[in-house]
Amino acid sequence: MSGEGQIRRLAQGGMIDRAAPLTFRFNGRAFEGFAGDTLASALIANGVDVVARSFKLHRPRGVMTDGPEEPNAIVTVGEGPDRTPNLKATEVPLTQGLVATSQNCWPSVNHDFGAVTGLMSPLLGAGFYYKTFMAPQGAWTIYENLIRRAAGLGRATEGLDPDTYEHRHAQCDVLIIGAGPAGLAAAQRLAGSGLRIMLCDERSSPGGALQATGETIGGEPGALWARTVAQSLDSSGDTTVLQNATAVWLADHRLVTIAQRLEGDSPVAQRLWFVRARHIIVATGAIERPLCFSGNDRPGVMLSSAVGAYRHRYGVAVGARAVVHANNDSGYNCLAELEAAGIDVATVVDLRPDARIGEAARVLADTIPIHADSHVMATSGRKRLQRVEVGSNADTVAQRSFDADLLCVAGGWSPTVHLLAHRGTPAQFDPDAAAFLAQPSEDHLDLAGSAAGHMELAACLESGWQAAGNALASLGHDATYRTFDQSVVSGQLPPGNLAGPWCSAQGVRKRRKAFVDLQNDVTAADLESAIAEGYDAVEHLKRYTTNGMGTDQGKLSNVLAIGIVAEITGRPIAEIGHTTFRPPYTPVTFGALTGPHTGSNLLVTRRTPFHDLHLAAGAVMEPAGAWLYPKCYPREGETIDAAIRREVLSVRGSVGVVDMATLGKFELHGPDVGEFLDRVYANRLSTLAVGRCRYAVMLREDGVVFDDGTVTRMADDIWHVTATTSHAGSVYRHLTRLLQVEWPELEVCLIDVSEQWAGLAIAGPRARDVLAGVVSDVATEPDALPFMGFRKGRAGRHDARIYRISFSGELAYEVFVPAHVAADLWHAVMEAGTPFDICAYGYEALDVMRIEKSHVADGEIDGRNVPGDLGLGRMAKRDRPFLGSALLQHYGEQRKRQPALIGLTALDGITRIPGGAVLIDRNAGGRKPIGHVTATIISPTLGKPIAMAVLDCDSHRTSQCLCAVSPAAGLEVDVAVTAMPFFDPAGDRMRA
Amino acid sequence: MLIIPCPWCGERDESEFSYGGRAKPLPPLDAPANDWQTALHVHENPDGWHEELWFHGFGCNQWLVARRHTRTQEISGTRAPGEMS
Repeated sequence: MSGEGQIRRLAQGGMIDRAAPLTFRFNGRAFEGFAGDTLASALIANGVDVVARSFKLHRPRGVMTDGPEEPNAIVTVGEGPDRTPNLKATEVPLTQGLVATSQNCWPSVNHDFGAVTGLMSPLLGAGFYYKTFMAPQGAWTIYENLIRRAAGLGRATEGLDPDTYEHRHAQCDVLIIGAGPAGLAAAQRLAGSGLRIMLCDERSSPGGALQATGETIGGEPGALWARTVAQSLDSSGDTTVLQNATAVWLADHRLVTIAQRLEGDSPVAQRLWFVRARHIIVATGAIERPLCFSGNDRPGVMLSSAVGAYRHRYGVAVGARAVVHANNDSGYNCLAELEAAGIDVATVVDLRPDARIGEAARVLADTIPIHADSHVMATSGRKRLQRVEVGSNADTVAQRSFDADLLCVAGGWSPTVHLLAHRGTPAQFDPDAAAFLAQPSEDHLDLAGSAAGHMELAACLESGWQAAGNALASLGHDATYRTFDQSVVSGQLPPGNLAGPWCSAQGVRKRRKAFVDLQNDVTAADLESAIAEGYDAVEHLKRYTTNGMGTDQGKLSNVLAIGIVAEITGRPIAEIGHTTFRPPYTPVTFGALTGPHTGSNLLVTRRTPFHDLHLAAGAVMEPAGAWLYPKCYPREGETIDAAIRREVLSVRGSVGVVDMATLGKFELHGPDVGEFLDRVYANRLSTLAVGRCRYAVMLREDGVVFDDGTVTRMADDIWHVTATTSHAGSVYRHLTRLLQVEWPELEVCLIDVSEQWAGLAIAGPRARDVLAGVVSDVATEPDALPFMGFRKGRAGRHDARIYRISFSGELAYEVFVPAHVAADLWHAVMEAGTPFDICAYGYEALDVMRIEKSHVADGEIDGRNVPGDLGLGRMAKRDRPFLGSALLQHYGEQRKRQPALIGLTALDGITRIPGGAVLIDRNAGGRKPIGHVTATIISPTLGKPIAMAVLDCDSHRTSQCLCAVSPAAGLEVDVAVTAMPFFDPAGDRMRA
Repeated sequence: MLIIPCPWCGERDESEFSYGGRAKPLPPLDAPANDWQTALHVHENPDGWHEELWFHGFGCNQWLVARRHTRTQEISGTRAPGEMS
């Protein structure tokens, strides 16, 4: 049954399923179409002429193409969180109940308020935004708000996208991109070769251009041949055929990204493929170019090739009475399609002089009058084309006018060379083909069909066939020379004798709307004025005029613009060149790019072996890099701040326990470890006695502090070093590099044991009492296990490593056990600690206590400071070189900045010093920053605000009027320099 | 995305590796500051073949030297750093 409203639906034909009518809504009105329609074909079938408004001038626009090159028919599909903006109606498959709306219009597409800006269009020329909104300074933010509301493409959705997206990685021997005649011919030859073949195609069914013409292959209609070939491939086990799958990026080493839209009941909306192929055949076809003339944007102006596409694919007649406007013979191909669709043709307007029109083209025109050496001078009609004004190229005013609701334009063909151009080699302009042609510059990469510039069916098939032969030969298979031997009947003319001008509105360019880029409303006059202002290089011109910067990425407009630039400047097109082709070939949704990497899957989350125990103990967990780490353990009714304070005071007053499992831990075995560590760390380690630990600082090659940690000599030739949590990976990479690449002569074996050992630090005046209840087979008395001592022992049944190291400044022991028995250690510590009211403490308390003790951490080791800046200068060896020592001195002297780490306290003794604040000196230098705060707390132990800070210059230390300023928080706090460490400067507590 | 033939593991995807810069030995630790300055900060940035270090961190934890063409991204071969010229 044919829907009543489908006034342009032909009685028969098309690849639609007339037994499956679908209803859909467009701009609130209900329509009917068929399965197999696109939104664009269904709208045309229903006689909907205006489908969108243009981006800048809000001019009414209709469907112009049947593919990804569509510049006009931009719509939003769906409602609520499922809404997708900026889709091309030509790429949206019609589904039951589909809801779509026009963009760039208010209140409606037929009565658009913004269209008045069309009256102001002389003011909205090239570089309009740059020129108009330059002044006054700072006002741009106001302008931007207004502009974004008035212009802007569709609105993004709010809320979570309910759809599911998937990434899939695949490998194959030969990837064929494009299931048009060339791609299918290649696939046909490769089938049965034993090679794994993948074939991807942007449309829902194979055939490409064969679907849009009446050509036959082997006696079969082309579309039928295509289906037969694809089906035979699908049934062979080693072939994958992807439909609705657009190859968007050809990257290094033959990695192709393919965006696939899944239909029907698929639980996945879109799938992004990453296909690694041993050989690639690019058969992406060609896109017809429009012509540039006054009024070329009116609904009813269409590419000439779209006439056949809409008739054959969807059984739709795209108009009632047509004028054909061409600059080459292929424009005459649509005449047969127009006749078959019952569309009258008033005339053919050919830009070329009579003598250049091909004989075959004349035969196609038959009795239709041809106006040679002529061009369309203007069009008229409010919501759809009504009249076409035609004059000879010598005329300045139109001589004839024709009633027509359809104007088929044929400006030649642009091979789709995008994927090849992604490889970095520019396409070259071929004047004979009047097109940019690409040459594969790599092995295992072939170009076939019209993408390679072959514009006749037989040549396309043959080139695909030969590309398959290349693939076979290059992969070591039998590639005996054969030609494609099926009979071909085409009747389609190639774009022979193509002639300019590229813009037929010359002379009237200034006055009339001759559009180059329809989506961004760029006219030939805009190009001309931009060039007059000096923007004559294509890349500048593109950005200044926004030509080719829409969602279609200039698929119709780029080459046209280059041709017009050539005419204006008198330079050859080959010299002008094209703008850079960048991936993706067509827009890819953020959903597809993100794939499953959303929410908790966005990043890796690392949990320590104590994770569940932290949760059971009531911890508030917080991400710290990749780790989830306890922030603190608030009790019932306790605030975060109160919990942190309680934890600090219990450690200082009795005992606490903290998770140390995130530290980077490395074992080094071998006779040369001492020498290696002396080269790697700034301080001396080779003299370390067995059973002792030492704090150590590692520099980068340029002398800047890289990381700090402790080095322990566990046995004569077995050492253990730690790295900070955040640098665990980079320190490991650094050490392996030095051992494997720089100093392979050293006999050192490095083993990352970060995940093998899990540990807890027991800290506080009662730590020894707790330790005694946890470990056995080891003496824990101060003499036997002194500060910075190490012993092996047992914790319950397990091996334990006990390091008497203190980060908190208290008597402290770090006890490590094999990671899989971490829970046993936790329970043993908690049990032994119960009499002392032991409390688990988190990252915040740890940080507070290290600030009270002035230990440096990530805030101070910020990749800019040398050891001397952090008060660690005296650790560096003087008598032998180490990594970073050569430049340490050099930089130390040459730097403008001579930073110094200082302690601060608030002058009033109560106000918290703002975090991230800059320091200024109220007396000297006005508001000029002279340093910054790196860590700040109100010390629970001291009962006053303290902070660590890095001064840009040590000489500011004596300043009497320092002030910490935080513009972000709007705070200014007067501070005074104070001695560090803030707490227990003699270190008696940790040595107890 | 490159395919890097690890001398120990075979052909692997670039995502398993991290880049380590130019494959040129660091100066001796006691070399003058100028030598270090040059080694760290003066790079050839060639348009063509480049010997460079890669670390197979999601594989065998070994460093390797790859010879890569900076324009075509072709990798003509890899080897263990011990065999560095």
